[in-house]
Amino acid sequence: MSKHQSDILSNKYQIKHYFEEWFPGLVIFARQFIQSSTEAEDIVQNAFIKLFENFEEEKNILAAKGFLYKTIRNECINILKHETVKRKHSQQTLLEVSSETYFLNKMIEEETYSTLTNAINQLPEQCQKILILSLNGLKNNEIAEDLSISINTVKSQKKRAYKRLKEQLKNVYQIVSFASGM
Amino acid sequence: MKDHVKIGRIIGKHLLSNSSDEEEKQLHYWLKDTENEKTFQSIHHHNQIEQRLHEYKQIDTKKAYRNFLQRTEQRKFTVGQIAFRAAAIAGLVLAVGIAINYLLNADYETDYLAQEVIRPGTSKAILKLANGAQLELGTTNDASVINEHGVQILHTDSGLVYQNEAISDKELLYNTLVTPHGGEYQLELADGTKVWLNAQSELTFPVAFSGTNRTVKLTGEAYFEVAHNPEQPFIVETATQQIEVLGTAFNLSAYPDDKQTVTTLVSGSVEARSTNGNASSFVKKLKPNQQLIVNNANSGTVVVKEVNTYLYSAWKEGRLVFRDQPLEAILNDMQRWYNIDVVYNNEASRNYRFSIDMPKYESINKFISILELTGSVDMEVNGNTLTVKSIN
Repeated sequence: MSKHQSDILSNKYQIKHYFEEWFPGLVIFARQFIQSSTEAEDIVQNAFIKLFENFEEEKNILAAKGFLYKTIRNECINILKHETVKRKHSQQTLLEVSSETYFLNKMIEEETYSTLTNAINQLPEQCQKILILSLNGLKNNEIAEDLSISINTVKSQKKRAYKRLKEQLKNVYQIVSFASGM
Repeated sequence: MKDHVKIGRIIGKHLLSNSSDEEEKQLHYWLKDTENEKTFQSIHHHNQIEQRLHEYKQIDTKKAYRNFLQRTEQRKFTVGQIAFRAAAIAGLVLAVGIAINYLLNADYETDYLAQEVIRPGTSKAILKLANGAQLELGTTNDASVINEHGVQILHTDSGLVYQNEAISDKELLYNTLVTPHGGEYQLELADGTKVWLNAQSELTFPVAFSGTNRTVKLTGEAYFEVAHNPEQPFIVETATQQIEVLGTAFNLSAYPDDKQTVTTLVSGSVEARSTNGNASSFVKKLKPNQQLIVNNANSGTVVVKEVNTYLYSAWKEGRLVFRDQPLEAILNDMQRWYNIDVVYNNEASRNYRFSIDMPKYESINKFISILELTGSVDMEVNGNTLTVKSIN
């Protein structure tokens, strides 16, 4: 057993953690290609099983996630090709979504959102609301007005939110670097 | 492709004002491409985070995971059958810890909730000073300083650090670090050498080094990262051997109750020689990735072989790793880490062979489930005694 394979063992051990963290985001990613939610969930699950069987080829966790994106996208395109005729998807839609640029953009977009969502989901409700409004570009006084609270509350809650996020995101990265054996 | 995953994560952290300087630099570089800039702007301006949070709640991840488990379990079963046939031919019982880890989730763990839980070891040790005083060391949040005859010893949450002091030629003072059952401890010697001391082990060392060599004494197991100094060779003495090194990393397992003394060289070079002066005296030089196994019995066979050193040093990275090892050897290690006694109802089971790779800071039940799921042994915990029962 090489050092390399041992790293993978520890990844496999953590598969529950990754499955739960990644699954929703990947389903949403699949829905950028196909409409049906049930179908999207099936595709993502199949991709995880494929990963489980082929993990040996994946060097680290970022690569594992890349593998999932690619597998999901390819499966979606396959289905689309079959259905272009049946469901009257225009040929143009198929061409657009099967381009490499579309894929890479959606992948980056999804990865950004799952980072945001996973981090924000852990915050208390009030913090979440303030942070979301702030991400939408609202100023402190606008947020205060919107939620009928004082500006000082907005400021202090924001400070709290960023502090907690810092720990959160640090943690995410630690898990990642541990698992990839870096 | 993984670069795209990475950049996505960095953008996420950037939007939450939580990216590091290094990440900002990478983002800045990536944004120089106008296509990338467009992607970034589109994420930035069509913020769908609220919608995302809502959508996440609609997706039943728990259910999907259960489904996933069931499906991988079915597949694992087929793989298991093939493995079992192969094992029967070879006369071995193989436990493929990899596949089995999957089965360890929720459902199996709950079976154990009612039972009392045997906890793994923690970072703890006793330091015996030269004057005979004993200090109990555990994890500490506050660093403190111990003064040993003018030598400063830093006690931090990552262990002990002996400060390198200029010392006169006066007689060397020795300290001894002892880890109990279920303990482990880290130590940095005065010359900068790092030592990870495993459970139920003992290391005696001078508080400062002078003279022609650096000599320490070990009973039990330790991993050494020796500070390079060709002028002053580093020597580890066990009951029966001397290991001499110039600057290197290696693991030495010399438990009195084990059948073998095992030296595993990760990097550099070491020379091992017997010191008990019986018929089987030897001098062996090791190259990286080589392992020296000396049987402690009188006949004392000596073997050098190539190994994957990870298997022998993973314990210091917080993992319990065994590759095709007899149950007895595995449980000897467990005894030291979990502070348990082991009883074998079925003598033959001592020689069953298993492979395991799991985190070492888990309760013993996780370890037991892994072994039991192979279907080759049955185990029972009563108080502090682990009984290995016959399966038939």
